[in-house]
Amino acid sequence: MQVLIVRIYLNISLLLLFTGCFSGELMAQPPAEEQVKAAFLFNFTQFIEWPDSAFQYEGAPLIIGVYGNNPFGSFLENLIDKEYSGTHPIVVRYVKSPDEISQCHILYIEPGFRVKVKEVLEYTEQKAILTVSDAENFIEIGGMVRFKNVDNRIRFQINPDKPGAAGIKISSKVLRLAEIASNSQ
Amino acid sequence: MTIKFQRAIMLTSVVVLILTCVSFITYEFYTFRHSTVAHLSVLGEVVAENSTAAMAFQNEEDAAHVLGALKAEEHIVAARLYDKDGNVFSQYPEELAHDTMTCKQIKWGYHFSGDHLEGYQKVKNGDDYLGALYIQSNLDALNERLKLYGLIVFLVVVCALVLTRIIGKALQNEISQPLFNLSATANSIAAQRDYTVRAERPDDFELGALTDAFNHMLEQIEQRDEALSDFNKKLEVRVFERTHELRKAIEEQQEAERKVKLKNQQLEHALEELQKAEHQLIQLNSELEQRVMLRTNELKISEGQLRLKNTELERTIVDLDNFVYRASHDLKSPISNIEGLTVMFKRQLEGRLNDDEKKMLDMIELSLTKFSATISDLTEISKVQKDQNLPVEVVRFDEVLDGVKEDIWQLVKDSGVEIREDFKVEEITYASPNLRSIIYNLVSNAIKYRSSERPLLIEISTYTENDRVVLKVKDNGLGMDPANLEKIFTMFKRLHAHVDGSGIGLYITKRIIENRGGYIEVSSEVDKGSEFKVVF
Repeated sequence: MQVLIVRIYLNISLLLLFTGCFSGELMAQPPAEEQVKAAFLFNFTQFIEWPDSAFQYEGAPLIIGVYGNNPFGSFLENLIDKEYSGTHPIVVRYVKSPDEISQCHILYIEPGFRVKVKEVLEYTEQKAILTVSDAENFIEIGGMVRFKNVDNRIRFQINPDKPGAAGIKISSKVLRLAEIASNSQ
Repeated sequence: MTIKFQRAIMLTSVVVLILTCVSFITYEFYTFRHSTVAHLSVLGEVVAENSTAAMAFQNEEDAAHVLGALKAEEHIVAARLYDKDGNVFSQYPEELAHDTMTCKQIKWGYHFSGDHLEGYQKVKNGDDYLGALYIQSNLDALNERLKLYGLIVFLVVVCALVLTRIIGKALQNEISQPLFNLSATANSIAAQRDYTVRAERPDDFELGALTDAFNHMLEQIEQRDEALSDFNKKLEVRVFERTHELRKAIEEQQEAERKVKLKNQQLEHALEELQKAEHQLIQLNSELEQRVMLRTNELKISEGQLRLKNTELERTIVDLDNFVYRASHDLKSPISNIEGLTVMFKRQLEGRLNDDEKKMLDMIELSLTKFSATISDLTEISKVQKDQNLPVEVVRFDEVLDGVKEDIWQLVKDSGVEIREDFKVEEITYASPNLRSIIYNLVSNAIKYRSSERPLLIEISTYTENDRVVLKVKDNGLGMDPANLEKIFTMFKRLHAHVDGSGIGLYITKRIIENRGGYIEVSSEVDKGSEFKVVF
């Protein structure tokens, strides 16, 4: 298993770029790290392709689901407002029960103590849902993308086999930035 | 000649070569510039495409990695990625000084700027603008290529010159020498006028053909030359003949001219004489004119004198008439007194006079009666003059004649006259008393001087002659001797003494007629009758 570590430096001015438009809600700003993660979630919609079967109809919304506690406040919603992935408008949905998981295209799982990540992943099995989490063993237990904080830089690990099996195509440009990992299973 | 020939060839070659090379280099220069831009543009496209994810995920290391790939292109001097705000995100080479790009500085696309080529390109993922890519390339490639071309041109030109020189020399031997020979032959022919000479034929095909043509031309020239000299001789003969003829013609012409000149002189002489005669004629004419003028003036003067005399005469006549009228008028009453006194005197002396005394007294009485008659005649005459201003009117001839007949009815009755009237013109515009006086005198005269041997016949007629009215009175009375005819119109002239009369009737008639612009004529024969014709 080869590991390529891509370092991402956090740059204050860069953060201001992302937050500048929402200065009116400065008080509700989440921590800088969470803002970067939200931006990455949005970037995934721009560099990743889902199979047509993942959408009920052409022009159907691309749903980013946030499972568990919402760490982004309204930041993510504002970020994807009026944005598209291809022909699909992007929407955010805060998932409360596992029944709603199947509708999502990206599922961010907040690794709170009450959420059992492994159980949630079972609902996504064999489905074109890009699973993202901060959980340390996320790749090992069958997740696709894991955010890592390395020296105050957000980087991510990707297990490309899983999304490939589900029909999700991740751009090689993104893969080049990622630490490729795979679960031993 | 050889040098000139060679120089021409070399110059032509060099000029053609340089022109070709310059156009080629120019074309290459622009093509290469264009392709350099295209190349850089493609390169930029690739770099921008590869750096989208790095930009999106803020991965500067990856961006630096992508830019680092530009190392392969040695002419790329600098490359830089800017984020959305225009801040430097990553650059190549890394030691490059940082500078900030503002939006205003961005000029999309690639362009030449000074000694380098540079440009900006958008970094986009789909429709999302992620930032900008700047690439700068030096123009070493272009310059190198230009240097290479320069070298090639130089070498080509040098080679061409050398080759031209070598080929020229070879050609000189092949072409120039036979040409020289030809030229020498031509020169000698031109100098000696000897067209029998022929040029030597070389082996070369083309030059051989040229020499053949030259020789053929010489042959033709020779023939032409002979023909020409022949023709010349003929011409000379003809010219000589023609000259002779001309000289003869000129002599003849001169002779003719001489004759003409002579005739001219004669003509001029005749003309002079004619002019002289004409001059004399003119002089004569003017003399005549002068004379005519003189005579005309004299006539004018005498005419004026005549008119003057005429006026004097007319005045005298009027004066005389006036005198006669006054005298007759003034004499009337003394005569009447004397008559009365004589009658009274005769009565007083009744019975006391002897016969002689009585006879004397009767003679006095008779003389007085005659005197009285004469005076009344004179009054009558002077009246005619005064009556000429009577007003005119339309008068009928028959009416006037009837009036006259009534006046002399006693005379008509006594004489038993027959009067025949034939008025073809019935009336006339005239003074009525005047017309009456005319007819009265003529008719009464005719009756008075009738013949006792035959009954009297008077024919009175009017007619038109030459647009004028004519009155004719014809009788068969005593008649007159034609020799005395003119006298009858004078005052107190009487041809017959047996009838009483004063002798002024015809005189008055004539004056009346003439005063009115007419005239009276008479023709008569003794014992046959008279005819009076009045033209009004």
